[in-house]
Amino acid sequence: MFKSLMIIMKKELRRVFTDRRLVITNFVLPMASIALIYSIMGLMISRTTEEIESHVTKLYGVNVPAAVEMIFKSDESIAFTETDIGADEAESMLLEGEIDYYVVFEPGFEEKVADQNGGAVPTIDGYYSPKSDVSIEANYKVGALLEAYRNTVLASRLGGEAFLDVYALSASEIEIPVEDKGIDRGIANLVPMLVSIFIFAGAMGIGMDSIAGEKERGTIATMLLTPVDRGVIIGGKVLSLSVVAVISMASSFIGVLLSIPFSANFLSAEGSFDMSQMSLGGAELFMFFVCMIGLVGMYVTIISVLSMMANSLKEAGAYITPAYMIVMITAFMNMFGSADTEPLYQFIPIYNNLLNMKQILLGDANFGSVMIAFGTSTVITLALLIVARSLMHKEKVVFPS
Amino acid sequence: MIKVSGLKKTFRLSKKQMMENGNKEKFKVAVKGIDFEVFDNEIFGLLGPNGAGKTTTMRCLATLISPTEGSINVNGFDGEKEGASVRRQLAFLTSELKLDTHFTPDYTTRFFGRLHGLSEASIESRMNHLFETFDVTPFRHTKIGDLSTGMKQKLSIVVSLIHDPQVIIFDEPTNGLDIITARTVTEYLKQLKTQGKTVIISTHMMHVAERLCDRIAIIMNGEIKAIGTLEEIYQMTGKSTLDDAFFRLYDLAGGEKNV
Repeated sequence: MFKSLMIIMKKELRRVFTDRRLVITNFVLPMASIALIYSIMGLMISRTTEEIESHVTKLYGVNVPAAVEMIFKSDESIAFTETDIGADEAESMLLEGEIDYYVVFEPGFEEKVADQNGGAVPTIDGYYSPKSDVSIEANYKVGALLEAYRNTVLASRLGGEAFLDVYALSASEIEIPVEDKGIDRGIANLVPMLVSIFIFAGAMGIGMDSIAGEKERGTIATMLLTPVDRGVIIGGKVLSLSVVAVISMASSFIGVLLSIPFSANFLSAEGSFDMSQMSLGGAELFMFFVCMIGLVGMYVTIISVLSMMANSLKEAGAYITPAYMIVMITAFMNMFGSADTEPLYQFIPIYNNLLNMKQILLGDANFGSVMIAFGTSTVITLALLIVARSLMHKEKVVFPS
Repeated sequence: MIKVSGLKKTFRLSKKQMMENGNKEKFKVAVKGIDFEVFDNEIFGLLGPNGAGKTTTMRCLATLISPTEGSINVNGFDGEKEGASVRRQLAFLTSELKLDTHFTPDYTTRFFGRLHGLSEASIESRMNHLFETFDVTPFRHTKIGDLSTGMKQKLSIVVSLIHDPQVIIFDEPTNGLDIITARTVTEYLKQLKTQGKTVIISTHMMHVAERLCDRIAIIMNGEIKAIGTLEEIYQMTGKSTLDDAFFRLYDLAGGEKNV
């Protein structure tokens, strides 16, 4: 049985790796396209950030008090203009991008601030355009400068700047011992999602072709004429598909790593990332591998069962797409959720493996949880294998016409 | 030797098939309890119009599908309980079974030889013999997808025979072949017979059946309407050619409506 399993697996792998088209679409293109897309995204984000930082804010103000005007003019990144245009005209200028911010102080603002005795406070109306990044940035900038003005006023009321100091807060980052050091949180959130989606995507195309495609073309039926058990035939296909899924996932992941010099600014929570952070200890690597194998087993058998049920490649695509969506939703849920979990979560298939991957990357690996997740994955994989084997024995499934 | 007893095969129809048939019958009885035996050193012909039940019978013999009732015995092995042993004994060729067009004849034949549990040496010698017989040698390293229809058919025959089976079941083996290749195939079937093999063929070509078969069963509407040697069939129908005998039985069965 084992020999037949290996013969079928080798044939399936040969089918994939000797077909230039399949190699390019399943291994080269994902790597190249992911590296390219992530790099371009990273470069575009860097460029936008640089543009915002170097942009001189065009600020128009009405009735701006002398003290505030002085603060605005002291900031080199702001080009302030005193104006008397109305709000309607200013709004259209904001929409056209002719100015970045428009601020209106109540007439007699400074006098009202000086007379303030706990009554109504004078108002400042600020306008910015939410469709412009530089205008949004101008809103933060003007807000910070007005805060500085407020402090000046408060210091004057209280009798000196020293009265503004209420306490001294000193927050320090603690030193994490090297053995507990996880990788960047942003990357730890992202990696399990990418691994999960890449495994499924890698197995999907070839899995459909290897099972539904062979059914449609009549080549699987030829194998049924040999003395080999039908379960061994599907087993060989599942094994080869697992290998293909892991290689395809690795290829896609290499694409992400290649893009890191350009994409770290949006992939990483800290805005920067270097490869040395990816180094995990032996135990962590083993546990990460176990989680990955759990996902591979489930995804490959899900794809195999759905492909078996389909009578054509087209039909297989229709059956597998909803499963792919579930995989993506689970991956995104894990990406944005907390790594702190209820014990019950460890029994939710797929999600538990992703959760453990994240915890491993954050340096909070738990061997027991990994084993529970692996156990649930193994049970599901075996159950699906049994389903796939029984489908192979159903005449209506193997010979639908 | 093959022994078929009370073979019956019923298919459950899909809604689409029921609509195509234009009635509400949920089941179709493709084979209605047939009995026949095929001996060693014999070529046995299964003749009948399309949809008569020939291919279903052959699929049951090849253990691709299970009989609804009845039994099949191939060289002492029960088709239901000892499927793997039956498949070791037989070759089955039908147009529905295809070879992967991506591989070469050389790799494909080796692959099926390995699945039959043959040693590399046996595969090599058997493959060389069959490739020579069917003129596949010049194309052994050409992708199957690039071969002509006739060459693909010859390769299918080679692959089906790689394990030197005792029982050969060929459904329309000369279909799509030119006259020269068709002659190669029929001559090889005769050779197999002289080697003591049991051969079953189905064909629509009456002249092929007349020239090749020792005994013939004419099957219509899932039932065997006549079985025996050519002479016996001529006697039964009062005709002197297989063509005429076939149409006589066809008319007796009620023509197009009932077959």
